[in-house]
Amino acid sequence: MTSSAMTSVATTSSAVTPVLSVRDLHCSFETTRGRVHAVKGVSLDLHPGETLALVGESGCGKTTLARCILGLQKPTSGKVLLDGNNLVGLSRREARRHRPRMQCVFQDPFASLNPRKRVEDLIREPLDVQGIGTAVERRRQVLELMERVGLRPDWGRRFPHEFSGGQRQRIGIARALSLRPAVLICDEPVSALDVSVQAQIVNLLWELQRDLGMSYLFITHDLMLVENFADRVAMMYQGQIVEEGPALDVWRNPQHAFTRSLIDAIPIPDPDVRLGSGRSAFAE
Amino acid sequence: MRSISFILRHWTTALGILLLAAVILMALTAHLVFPGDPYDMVGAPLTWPGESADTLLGTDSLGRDMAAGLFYGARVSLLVGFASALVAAIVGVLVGAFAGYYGGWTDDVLMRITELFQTTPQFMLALAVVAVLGPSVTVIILSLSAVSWPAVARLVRGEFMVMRERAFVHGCVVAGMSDLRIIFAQILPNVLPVIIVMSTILVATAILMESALSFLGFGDPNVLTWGTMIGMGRGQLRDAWYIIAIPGVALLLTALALNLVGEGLNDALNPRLKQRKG
Amino acid sequence: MSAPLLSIADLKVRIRGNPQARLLRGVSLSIDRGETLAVVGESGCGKSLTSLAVMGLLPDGLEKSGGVIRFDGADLPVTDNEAMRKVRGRRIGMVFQEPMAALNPVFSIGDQVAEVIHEHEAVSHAAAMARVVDLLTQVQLPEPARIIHEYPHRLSGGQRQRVVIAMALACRPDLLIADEPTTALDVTVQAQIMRLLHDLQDDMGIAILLITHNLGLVAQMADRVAVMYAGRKVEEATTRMLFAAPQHPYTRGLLAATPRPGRRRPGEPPLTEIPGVVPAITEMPSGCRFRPRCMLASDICALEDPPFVDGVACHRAVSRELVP
Repeated sequence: MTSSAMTSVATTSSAVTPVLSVRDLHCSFETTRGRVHAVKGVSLDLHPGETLALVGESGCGKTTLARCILGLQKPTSGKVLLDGNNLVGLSRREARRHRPRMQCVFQDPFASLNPRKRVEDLIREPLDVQGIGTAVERRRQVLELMERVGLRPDWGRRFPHEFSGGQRQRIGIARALSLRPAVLICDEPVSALDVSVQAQIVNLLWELQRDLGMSYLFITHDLMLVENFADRVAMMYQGQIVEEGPALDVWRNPQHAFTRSLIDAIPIPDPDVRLGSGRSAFAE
Repeated sequence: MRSISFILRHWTTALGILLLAAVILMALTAHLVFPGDPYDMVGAPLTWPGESADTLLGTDSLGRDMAAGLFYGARVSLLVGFASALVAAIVGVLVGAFAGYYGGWTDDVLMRITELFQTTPQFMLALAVVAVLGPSVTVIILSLSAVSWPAVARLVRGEFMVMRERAFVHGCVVAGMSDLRIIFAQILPNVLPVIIVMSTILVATAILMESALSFLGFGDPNVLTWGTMIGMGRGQLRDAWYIIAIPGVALLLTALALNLVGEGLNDALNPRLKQRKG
Repeated sequence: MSAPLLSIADLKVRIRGNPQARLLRGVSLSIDRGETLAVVGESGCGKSLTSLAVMGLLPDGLEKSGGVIRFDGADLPVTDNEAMRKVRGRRIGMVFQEPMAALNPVFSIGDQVAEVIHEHEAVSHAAAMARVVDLLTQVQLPEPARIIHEYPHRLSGGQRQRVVIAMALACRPDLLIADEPTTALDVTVQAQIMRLLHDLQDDMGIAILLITHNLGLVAQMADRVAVMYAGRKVEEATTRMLFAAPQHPYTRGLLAATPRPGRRRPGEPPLTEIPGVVPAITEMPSGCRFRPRCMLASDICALEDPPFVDGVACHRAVSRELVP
């Protein structure tokens, strides 16, 4: 219960300005099958130091929303406010100024690292780009970051393909952390990993948040996973947020039909506990 | 089965490298082995190969040394081949990279220009450029680049279109990297292997096209090339076929060598770390 | 007790020409008719390899170097491709993770499912097509008469997996091997597919070999569970027993690492991790292969690979009777 007390600090104290706000965001684009209206008027607030999970199934628009927030996709209308500054409509050059405040960790640890770069270069690149510190300082910072995410410092000269999925995800996290962002957008960062490694990465993210106070927008399809660590959950369905609230409340007392059907479908890892309302899992 | 094809492939690559090295050596040592002008008369005309100890590969109808022609011809062939492939690769990479990375109207404009070049028959275009600007080695290099860059541009564009959607490129954008840096420092190194492989084929094609130009009399008159030699031997095809055969075989072997090396490079550079899934 | 439908005894698979690279080190499993056996483990543990070995579909460069596979009372001729073709599809059906990869994009759904029937039985095309419609109805696809004319790319992921299941069931096999059948699908679709498999099993009495990394699916679907780690079976038990009293430290680690409702404690890390990673095939430790990641490891664990006794392969396992 204490954990929900913690979350209520983030949700109820409207005095704290959100570090990231999305306001009535719409995004539609042309595909081969015609015009897709992927995001239909989404508004979200991410407060300092909290984890907001954005949960939805494939095609619900959560990836498009993330791309709009990160400036990888131009929204049709609406605002993305980072520290109160609207990022929508900025030129790439203007947007670059705000980049260090918001970084991301991607889903596929195989595709998210340039295969031709060494680990130390991958982690240092953002510092080079933003011109932070001297060359010596940057190199020292890379070593600190590697240690921080649980990579051995002597692995710096290796290439990404020499690492397992979990270790690559650690490299991706170190790279994202290098600019000391206030907001980390995590786009399904553990869904490609095995359970034991998934637990390692989730715990690492949790520890980093405890120590550095970052805010996470954690995008995932796995409601049970975020029930284990998110402060708040926003359920996305067909381009809209259909339910939002403290993670435990949403899990225990889902309001929207979509949330209920999702919870009912999740197989609980306990043969004695049948899904949701006590019904049997796959046999009626 | 597998090991046989493996060895075979390595064996052919080795052969390609060996042949290419021989041609390069010929080009580099031409002035040492044959200090005189390859256009000079050195013996009786139409000496068959092996007939005289001075001219081992024989002489043509004007008494010029076939061997000297072969060595100096290698120079021009390689120079034209490599230089035009280089120019074509640079232009093609620039056009393809910008078209593929930016898409939209940039892509439209650049690709229409590319198609303009590509829909004109290659050899005709090269011939027209030489005919207008006059035959010199520089013009020939430019004309051959002009016809071969569109293929590079299309290939590079395709690769960039795939790459720009890869998560690591998104990561670079989010880190605040400039477009030029993403294009040249992040994506290009990943595309380089295919460009290198394609370039070896471009070299071979350019060498063959240069010979064809020279054969038709559109070569640089100041330098002797394999194509010139074939062109001049045309009259003696019945009685002295060796005049055409010797530079012809040299041309064939060089093109073969480049293709073999290209195939070897493809194998060496391409095996994309296919270590996914357990 | 009658003989099991499928029994795998001491199955060994290695990289051809490299006796050291042992990918499967003596795996034994058995499935009775109508039963669901789940094989769980993380990537690289050999669970998919086991199913491929049963089907005689080992990837190039791998070879079966030992063991006996018996199916319905006879040895399965896994190295004889011609003989295996009569078994695959007819006696043993298979459902893979990626339904799109299992379907040919240029043939209509009807033709693809009918193809399986034609392969094994001499029936007219009309008769085969009538059976296809029945099958598509059975896997609960809407408007089967329309879907037989559709092409794979026109269907959703869940619909495609239903078609793959229909193909696997076309000749009423005795055993269905389902290798991560729902990993690529949404949770709600996964529940539908699993319910379908469950119903089909009830109706047709087929046995299911369910290969998965999802302990939730195991808990809700399986009768028995075999846990694999680094090429061997480390624990086997009935599902209820395994979840109530896991013996092997790896099984316990997996269960602890799996998210489940109502477990979070403020100020503590959200999940319980197993330290380290599965070692690469070239860097296998001596003795027990789980040793470097195991909290309980002692001297004996480095010396010998523990034998599989009483449902578990661990030197430090507590006898099941002692577990409260």
